[in-house]
Amino acid sequence: MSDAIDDKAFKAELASLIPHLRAFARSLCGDATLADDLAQDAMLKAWKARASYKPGTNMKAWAFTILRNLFYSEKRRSWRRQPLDPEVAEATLVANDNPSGTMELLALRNAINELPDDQREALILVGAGGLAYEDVADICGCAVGTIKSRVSRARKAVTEILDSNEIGFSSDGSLQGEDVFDDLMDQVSALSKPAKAV
Amino acid sequence: MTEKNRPGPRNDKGAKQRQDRIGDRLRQLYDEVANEPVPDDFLKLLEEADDAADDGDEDQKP
Repeated sequence: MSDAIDDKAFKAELASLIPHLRAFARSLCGDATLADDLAQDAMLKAWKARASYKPGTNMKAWAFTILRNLFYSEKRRSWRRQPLDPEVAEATLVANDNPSGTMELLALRNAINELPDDQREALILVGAGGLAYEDVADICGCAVGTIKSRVSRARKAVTEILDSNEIGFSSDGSLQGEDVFDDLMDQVSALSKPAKAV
Repeated sequence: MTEKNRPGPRNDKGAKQRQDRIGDRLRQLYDEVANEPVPDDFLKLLEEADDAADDGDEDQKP
């Protein structure tokens, strides 16, 4: 058992990270089924590598590193070159009871998909995954300043893409990014009410 | 195409609000997956891996 945390505690913490592994994998792969395959492989690899985990460090960042390495080493990056299937994307989002919100998410997903890999992962990890710049730098194997720069460029690029591109997924193909943002702005007040949150 | 409040030249406040909105939606995209129930096979696989470790323990170095 040495100084590592015991298997039971490790397993419990790893299990608690499965939702995040799935979410990160989905952002890398785009496709839900392939993403779950990747997330499962990463989970099992993390389990096998549990002796190398340093107790007290960020297990989420550690597991994300494993997942990311799997993704790139096995050339799964080609997966995301598949065009997103609008119907699938729509189906995954119908649970959202706000139609214009659904459209915004599709538009954003489309914009994110156009980012270079390094910018996309930095934006997802910092902007959605709740990881510190330092952790993301470790995960991606580069300097903190590099991550900050990538996130900054990604934000700028996404904004420009949303501004300039038509939203290909929607039934109303003429809708422009700025219209989406008009909707977004309209919803700021609604979303900021606690009752509407969740 | 609406005529209202089209944000012509980007002012700083508008840009900040837009960034905040993008950030909210970005988290929403991630959280939609993270909040899904974990498929059963994940935990099943993890249990199987744990059982295998108990039996053979060929993977873990002391």
